[in-house]
Amino acid sequence: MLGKLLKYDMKAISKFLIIVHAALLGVAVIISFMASYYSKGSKSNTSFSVNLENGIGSAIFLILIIIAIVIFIGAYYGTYIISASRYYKNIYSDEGYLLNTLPVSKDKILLSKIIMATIWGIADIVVIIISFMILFKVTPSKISSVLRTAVTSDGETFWSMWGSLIIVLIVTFIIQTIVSIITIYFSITIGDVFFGHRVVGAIVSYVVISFIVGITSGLISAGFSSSHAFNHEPDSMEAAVKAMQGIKVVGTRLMIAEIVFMIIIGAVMYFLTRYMLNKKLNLE
Amino acid sequence: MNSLLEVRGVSKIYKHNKMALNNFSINLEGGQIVGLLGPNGSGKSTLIKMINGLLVPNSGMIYVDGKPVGIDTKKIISYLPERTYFDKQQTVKELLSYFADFYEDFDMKKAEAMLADLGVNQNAKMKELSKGTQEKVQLVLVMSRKALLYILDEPIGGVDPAARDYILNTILKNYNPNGLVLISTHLISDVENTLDRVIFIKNGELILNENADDLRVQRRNSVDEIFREVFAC
Amino acid sequence: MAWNINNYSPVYMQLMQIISWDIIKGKFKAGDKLPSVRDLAVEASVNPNTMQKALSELERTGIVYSKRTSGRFITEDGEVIKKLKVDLARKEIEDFLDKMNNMGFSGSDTLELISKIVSEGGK
Repeated sequence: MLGKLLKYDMKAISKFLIIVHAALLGVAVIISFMASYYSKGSKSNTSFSVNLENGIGSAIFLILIIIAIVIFIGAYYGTYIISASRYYKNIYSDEGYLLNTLPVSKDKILLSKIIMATIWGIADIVVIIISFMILFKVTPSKISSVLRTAVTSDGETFWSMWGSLIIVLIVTFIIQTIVSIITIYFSITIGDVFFGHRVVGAIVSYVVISFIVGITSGLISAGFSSSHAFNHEPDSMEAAVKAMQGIKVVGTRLMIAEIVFMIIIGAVMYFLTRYMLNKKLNLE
Repeated sequence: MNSLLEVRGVSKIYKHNKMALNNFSINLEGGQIVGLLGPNGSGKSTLIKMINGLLVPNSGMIYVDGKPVGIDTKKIISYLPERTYFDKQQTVKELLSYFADFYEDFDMKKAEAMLADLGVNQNAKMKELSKGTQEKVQLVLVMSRKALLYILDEPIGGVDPAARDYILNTILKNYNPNGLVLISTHLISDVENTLDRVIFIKNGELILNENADDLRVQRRNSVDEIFREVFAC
Repeated sequence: MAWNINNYSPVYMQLMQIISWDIIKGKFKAGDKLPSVRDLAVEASVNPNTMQKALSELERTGIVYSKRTSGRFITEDGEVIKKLKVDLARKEIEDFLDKMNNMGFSGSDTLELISKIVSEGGK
């Protein structure tokens, strides 16, 4: 049943999102071409040199940049807005009369929508990264060569130094995406249960929850930054490098703590949302 | 007694202490077509939503085929609400697949045959169809399930006489001696003859629960007229 | 398509009437097999339970009988059908006489009027 629910959820939102993301890639390709066209004869061989003497060309270029920014914003926020809209419409509007009378548990309905939004949230960033790679002409081979080049005299590579941090960053991002989505759904449901007007209630809940989460998150950060690495000025190159490594370690630990915190918050909101969908649903 | 629908002392209070249903109880056997009759705001919709699990009662219990309202009862209830409840971006065909996917008792062939009868193009998007046709499609979907309890909320309101006949005809053809059809309507004279039993509800309370013919003999009048007398303003 | 049934008297009685008339008119002949309860109900646009009750009553009065696995049949007993015909006719006449009385004609007045009209019309 979960698979079927997911199938229909994805079908419902994918059309628009695919178009927006394809457009983003398309615009990136176009800008990238134009940039190399206008930079012929210039000495730089990484993208962005534009021959500004060509008036019309630069005007078109500017417009394209603006379009790209708009599509970028649309793609990034679009995923969340459309997911929220789907959640609301499917459960609380007239469509709710069909969805909520299906012989499936509310849990699966909720999970399906979380998975749907997460898939697109991740796809979204992947497409954005690829767009940037296209824009700045960063190819996979350039990346792997940077990763493998020796950086320090100890023979450590980029990856061995920063690899763990990068992994933590990726995990943070994924967890953050999931928890953001759960927060949105939770807010909408709170808006329904505790406020007359669902939309206003949802926005209020979202703001309050974000505020609380932000403060708690800040407190955790503060706790970590009182550690040694941040509070002593390095007095030599050696000390500076050690301080950097110290910061990296503490920074990583901080991010892991944040991840744990987010997982806990996310889980709490998930279970509360599930409970409210089960016991407190009152369709107009 | 083979109880198919039991509503036991159910009450529902809305904001400002408005009592939508007040200690309402009925117990219906299978093999009947029952009319749930009452004016707007009488509590009919509230009762129907609670049987379907769309609303939670403040007190009391509801059992369908002996089971409390939940996933198991949703499997055996086929519900036609007063409003259209599908995603209008879907085509008729997609909606058929949706029903087939989630309901084991959905009869695809039957649905397609009925849609053909009604001249509905399966590849059309729901939003392209007229409101009347949308309602007919919804009815076809609901009646193509082999459910135990059919709940039809105002199935013939706002429909032309020919469609009305088709709808009542479909209901009669689908009659299941083990099942129960609950029709909620205020267009009584049109459906009287198809009802075994009638239930009158007013201000959230049960006024009457009788066999239709018995009622006609008792009061020497049509159910429609009796209704008007009982609910005269 | 739906049979002519009003909402004011018990539906099952009206169904019995209509079926009886159908027999007299020849729509159903002696010994004919009746359609199933459900098919009749759909044709008449009434509740199957009500149709069932009507048919049971017709069985009770011998106009219809049922063979366990084969369904319901119109009686083949000519006497029963004759009696049915007479009963229906009687009811029509009684209703008619009531109407005539209401207009002010006595029984014998009515009889005279009937003779006159019958001989005129050559029926």
